[in-house]
Amino acid sequence: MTDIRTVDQATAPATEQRVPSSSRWWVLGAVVLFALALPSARFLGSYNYVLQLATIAFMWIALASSWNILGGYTGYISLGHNVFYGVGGYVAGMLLLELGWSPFVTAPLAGLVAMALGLVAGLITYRAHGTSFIISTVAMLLVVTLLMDNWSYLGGSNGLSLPLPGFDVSWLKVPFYYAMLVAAIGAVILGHRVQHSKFGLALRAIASDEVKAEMAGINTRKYKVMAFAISAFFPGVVGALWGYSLSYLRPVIFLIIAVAARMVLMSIVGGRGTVAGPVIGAVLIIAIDEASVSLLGSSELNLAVTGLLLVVTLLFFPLGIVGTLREHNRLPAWLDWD
Amino acid sequence: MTQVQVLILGLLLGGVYALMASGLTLLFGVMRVVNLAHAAFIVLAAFLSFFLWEGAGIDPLVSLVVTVPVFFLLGMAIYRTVFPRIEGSPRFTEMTVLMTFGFAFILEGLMSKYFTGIFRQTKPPYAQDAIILGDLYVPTGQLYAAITSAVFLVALWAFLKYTRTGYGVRATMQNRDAAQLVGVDVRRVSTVAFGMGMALAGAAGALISFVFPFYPSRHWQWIAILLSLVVLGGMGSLKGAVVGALGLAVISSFVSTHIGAVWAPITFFGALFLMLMVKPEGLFGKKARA
Amino acid sequence: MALLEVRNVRAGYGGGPDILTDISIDVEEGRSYCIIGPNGAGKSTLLKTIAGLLRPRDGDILFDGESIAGRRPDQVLATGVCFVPQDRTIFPQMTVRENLVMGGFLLRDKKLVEQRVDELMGRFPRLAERSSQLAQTMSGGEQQMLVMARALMIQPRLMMIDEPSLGLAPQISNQIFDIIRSLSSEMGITVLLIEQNVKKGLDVAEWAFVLDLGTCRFEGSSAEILDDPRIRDLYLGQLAEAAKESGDAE
Repeated sequence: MTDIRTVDQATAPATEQRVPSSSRWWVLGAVVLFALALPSARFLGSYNYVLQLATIAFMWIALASSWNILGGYTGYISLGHNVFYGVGGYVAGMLLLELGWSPFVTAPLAGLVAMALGLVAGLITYRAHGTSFIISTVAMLLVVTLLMDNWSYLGGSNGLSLPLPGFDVSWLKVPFYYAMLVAAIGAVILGHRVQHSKFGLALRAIASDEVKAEMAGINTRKYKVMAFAISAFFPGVVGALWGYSLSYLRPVIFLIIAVAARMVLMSIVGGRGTVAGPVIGAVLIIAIDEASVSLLGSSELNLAVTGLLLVVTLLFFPLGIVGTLREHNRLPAWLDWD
Repeated sequence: MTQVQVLILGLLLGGVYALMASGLTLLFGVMRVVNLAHAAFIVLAAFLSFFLWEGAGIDPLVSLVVTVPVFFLLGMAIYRTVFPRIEGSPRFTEMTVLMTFGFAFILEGLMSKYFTGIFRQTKPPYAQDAIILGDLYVPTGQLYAAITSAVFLVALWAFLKYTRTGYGVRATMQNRDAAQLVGVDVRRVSTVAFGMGMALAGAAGALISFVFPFYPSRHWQWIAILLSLVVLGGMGSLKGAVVGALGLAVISSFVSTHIGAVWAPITFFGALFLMLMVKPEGLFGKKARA
Repeated sequence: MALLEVRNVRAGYGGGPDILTDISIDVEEGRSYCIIGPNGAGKSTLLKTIAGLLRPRDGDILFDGESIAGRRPDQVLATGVCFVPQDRTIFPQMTVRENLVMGGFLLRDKKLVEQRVDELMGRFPRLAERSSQLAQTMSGGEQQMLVMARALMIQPRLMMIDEPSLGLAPQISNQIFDIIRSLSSEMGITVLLIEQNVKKGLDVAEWAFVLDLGTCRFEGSSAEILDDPRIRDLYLGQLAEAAKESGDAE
């Protein structure tokens, strides 16, 4: 029994505008200000460690929030999303090596290249649904990995060294900190914009029932391809920055599937399809990671922990933190960024 | 190397891939479960064979007697404990993808930690030997693996065609609702089918142990190939999985010989992308939504 | 004692709202009934709940005096209740004959199964012609015939059919209706039928249940119901309104 009403509801403009609670903006504002000021606290005991950790957290916030656009809003799970991360890293790295351009400048360009790749990926896979789509993202990751590993110009599997940025060693980390922070904020704002646009509405219609969305006149192909492309931008950007910060490019840094898994895990644990979800998820997973490294030491068991977290979340909290809280009407205003 | 040689090698390889993929496609066909951890289980089984070999001198082909039942029971246990919780979900198949993705990491993490990442391989005498037929060089290791594989696949086929439970499995694969309506206990059938899928992984693992060098993280490359095969052949079609495996393995054998061994996996992925653009439901698949 | 007694059943899908709110019907053996009612009234849900595809949230279902509520579909089938749902649930890659054999899945005796298959082929010559044809290659009408023949393999006491004529051309659906009529008149099977086309449905069956908003509003012989002006109101939604206004004076 085709229910025309639900299709209309999916495509109608959102009539329920949540009044932004002022406490939410205060908290957000305070967090951003704090983040901006942090690097000046040089007196902190483990200054470098804290900055590095925060930088990494910002990077993952950007990665998870971007994944969420395709995996959360559109419902298309990409298990190979880190291709864009890797492509971004290599594009900026090669531009640095060949032309001497700083990745701080070329990062957006790397993002655009990643976007172009996302567009291509979308065009190849738009006819695939559900499982076939997921499988093709894994295949995509492996194909790119294979190419990178065997392309001697890019250093193959041994990788390439990048020149160090010419800053004073004592505050080397600071520019990366701010760059990643900007990327994180950008990715979150992008997610928010997608959520509140007609584009986002179309994506969610596709996520809930693609056939009905098509019947309602939504050009699902166009929107899916666009979502794929848009979700590739910030991974490309942070990839560029990360490669530079490591001063080394190797396929295995960016392209192992564990990286993709973490993006997925963070969004799911935090709450798919929400703006705050990936952020909370990223912060939480980073924290758990640090804790498990200090408790368990090695990184192999870390893999098992990642897997276990994913399984447990799916079994018991499939909507993630934000989603589950919202369902029980317990979502505090400062977490409700939608 | 003659073309016939390349063809033979491809077919032998394909035989092994067919066994590996059959468990995967059975799981999807009967229960709509996409097991991303299938290759990780295969690697686990390979480790089991390896330790039996190293510790007790048991030939990997003999270790089948252990790996198959162990994994059958493991499979039924996993199904019973994990899947009933998510059974009714609207996005069930997607959930299984994510969950088995998680399992794969759990398995890989544990195997890496406790078995380390050293390349392992069982080395029974036949793995080093070959039969020479005129110009042709047929490695006995792969030959035995392919033959064993064929035996298992024929046994599977016979089970499905001639036993009552097999009938129930086939019916459930074709139309779960209809099966339920004619009195098939789909829950029981699913449990048995899951066990069988895992048992096939157990068998494949024992064969892998002497055909390829293996290590914990190798499973990602295999699962991607297997999934490509299964999608290509049509998800849920055993015939498709076998045809896909043989066909693609032969093509990849040619690619490997004439272009370079490193590029062989690309064959599978390239074929996958092509198929997705042309006939997304695969060669033998139905147009049903996953 | 009625063959099938549904007592105050409440049921719904997943975690969703109640579709069946409080439904009670008695189905006497040997009769044929048609269930009519507007969209969303719960007609299909009722049959699915009886068949065991849905678990009732409240109330009970008795078959031959025994409670079958909450049993698995294969268990319900074993008591002699079979269900023919809306989508033609054939086994697409099996032949017509194999489909019929599958219908006898619960019968352990292979000879008996073969015997019954032959009997049914005799009764449905159209199917006999297509015996080794793949079920998915048959027309809608033939598939519907196949599904009903398959259901007859276990010689059920109660047969529940959901919209048998859906998507079929009038001529074919008439054939299907003839078969359904013969089920109760010749074979003594109790029939519970859902049919959207009220006139057709009341033509085929002797008795009727009228459902609305998850409960049985009223019942009676087909002739009575057909002439009842309240049916028109029901389909135009006015009955529900009137009932609310007058405090349900029925």
